[in-house]
Amino acid sequence: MGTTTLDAWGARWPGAWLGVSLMAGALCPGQWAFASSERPGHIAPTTTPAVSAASLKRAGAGPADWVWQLPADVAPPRVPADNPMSPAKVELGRFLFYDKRLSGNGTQSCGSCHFQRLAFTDGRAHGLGSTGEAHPRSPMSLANAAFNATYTWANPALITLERQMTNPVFGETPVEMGVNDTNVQQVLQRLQAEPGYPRRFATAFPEDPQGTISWDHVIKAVSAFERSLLSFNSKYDRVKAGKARFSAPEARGLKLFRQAECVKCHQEPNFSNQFLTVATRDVDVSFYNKGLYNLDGRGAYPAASPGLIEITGKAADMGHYRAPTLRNIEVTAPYMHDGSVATLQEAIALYADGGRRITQGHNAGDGRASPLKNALVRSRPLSHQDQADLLAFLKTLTDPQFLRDPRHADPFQSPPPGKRRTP
Amino acid sequence: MACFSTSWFSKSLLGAASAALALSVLLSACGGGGDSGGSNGWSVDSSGAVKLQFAAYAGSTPIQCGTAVAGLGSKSSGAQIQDLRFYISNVKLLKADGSSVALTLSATDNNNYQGTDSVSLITLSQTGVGSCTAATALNKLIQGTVPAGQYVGVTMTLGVPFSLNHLNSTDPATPAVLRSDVNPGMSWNWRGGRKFTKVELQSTDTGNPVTLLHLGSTGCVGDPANGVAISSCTAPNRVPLTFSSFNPNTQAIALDVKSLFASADFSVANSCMSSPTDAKCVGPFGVLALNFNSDGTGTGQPISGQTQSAFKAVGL
Repeated sequence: MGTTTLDAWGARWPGAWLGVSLMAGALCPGQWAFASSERPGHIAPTTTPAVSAASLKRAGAGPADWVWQLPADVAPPRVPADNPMSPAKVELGRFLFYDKRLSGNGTQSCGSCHFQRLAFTDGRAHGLGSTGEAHPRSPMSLANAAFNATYTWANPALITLERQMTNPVFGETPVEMGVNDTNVQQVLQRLQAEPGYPRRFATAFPEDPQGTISWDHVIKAVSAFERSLLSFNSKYDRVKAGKARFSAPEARGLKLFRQAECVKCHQEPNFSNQFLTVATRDVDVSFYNKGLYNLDGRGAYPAASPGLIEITGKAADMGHYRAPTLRNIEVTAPYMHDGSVATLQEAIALYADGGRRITQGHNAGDGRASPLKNALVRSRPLSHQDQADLLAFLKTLTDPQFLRDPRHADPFQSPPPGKRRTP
Repeated sequence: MACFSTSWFSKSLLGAASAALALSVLLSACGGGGDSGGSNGWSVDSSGAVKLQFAAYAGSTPIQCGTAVAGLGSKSSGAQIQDLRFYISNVKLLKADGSSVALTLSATDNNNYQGTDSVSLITLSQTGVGSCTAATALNKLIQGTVPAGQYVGVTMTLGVPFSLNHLNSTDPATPAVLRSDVNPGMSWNWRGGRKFTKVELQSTDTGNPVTLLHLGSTGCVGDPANGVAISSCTAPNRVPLTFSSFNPNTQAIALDVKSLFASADFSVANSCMSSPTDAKCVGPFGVLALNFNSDGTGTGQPISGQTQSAFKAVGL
């Protein structure tokens, strides 16, 4: 487990990083850099040096004291220029993440739908909001959320955790945290009344020594906490680091995982797509149709959650979703965007079958025959043993330390036993 | 790039002349013509002050929170306002020679922002009154200044300009009128922008189904490679509102909900949130003369040769 300091990378998005590596001093802080001859979207492809944590460590000190604890081959995530990481901000974010006063009616925190022991999912097919409204989709794992190019299941309008968070907080369709016109200031006043908070806000946001409790600061602190939720200490990681060995079924499962092209969408090291670090050159923002539904013979998904098409309006985007991380997948049932697959065995069998056929009910249809299905999702001759081995491998992606790391735990429930802590 | 308001704006001015005749017919038909100024128009004195008033109407009847509105939609149903707010941007006064002069807003505050683009939030509903559930205070006015002189009409845009629409809704540097901590109900974080309109009517039919229009830009996506929160939208959905013959001293601009939801069946819910594939948007988008196809191929551009008929001039 190597470490890379953020100050080495610059507490900014790659503008600062490129400023170190390519064109020192030529960039405005926090701005992205690409040579004018290149089309936007591709950052200086040829002159970027190979990433070396050691060399970057010497690159100079930044403003933050945050240290990314990452495997040596994983570059740090991109961090918005206006929200640098710091331990104080992450710790404030942890309190806020678990603080029920953050919802309109005071009944729910972020943690009410994101349980640490379930890799920050909630075990439900459909999240349940503070006013009892069910969400069309299942709460996503927050493990390694810092690295996503876009957020939620399929929304390219959300490219930062900060922007994502405004949805559960302020969203009306459905209501989640339920902050609205009537209570938006009241929620801040509740936090202001908590004696511990102003000091923590002042420390987390040193540019504002008054410790102003604003929505801007609340969202930035929670986003910083979410960026700190790193899961790179599974058996898979330990095997990779030479500190453990796969069992025979696990090793065979990994081989099958690669042979059966699961890895094409669930790419290492995060076993996801859209994995974005400061070192990423070609940013992947792809979405896939996995043949879960085919209501009309033309690939239609249920209207409650049609996928990327909801944002883009493009017919070809029907049923397209991000490939979420498979890290900790063992504990994040039920599966898929709508929780419609109960177990991991079923999920593996579904892919082996090249999609899902639903024989009855209003969602009946043969997803395997969907014209919109990605070509990688196709029937594959995977025996029961193969599928069992795949399952064995997937379980090596569980990171028990992450699931009980006290740095990520609910501070209101932590010791001293029986006594509710305050910030 | 389809998202910048300037591209269609010049187009809409070209179309304004041809639409003027039809518009004046419409105004007189609605009985809301008042003193339309005639060919001489009206004058702005040396103070430069101009005050534009807005109102909510159902047909020829002014309405507000608590008003029992009748005769709505395809089944002539009854309803009450639940929420009625919309953004107006880049107001310009028109001169007889066809030129236009930008109105400089008098204030930048919780309802207004004056910058390279300007935007105001008009609020015609107030929580706690009748069935109204949101917005703490009414705001029926846009106030500003122009050079003294003779004017004949006014033009503006329903919606928030691209340059402002996608600013971070919680950043203190974002104009207050567009922020989630000031007007959370108008932020539209799921689509990376703002609701241009939040028009919601609660039917008096069984179950009180809601008919609503949340207009806003759709198909908006970010550019994670370059850290740009929203880099483009496919359907801007901004509506040019041009009143070639309009006198703010004697007239107001009214949103006529009866016209907006003329084809809706108020006995069931009619929720148009501008989704590019939502068939329930065909009606209201048609009234707003915005290009929309429920197969997702709508451009969100004003339809050439057509004029919206939801907003109209009424006598004060």
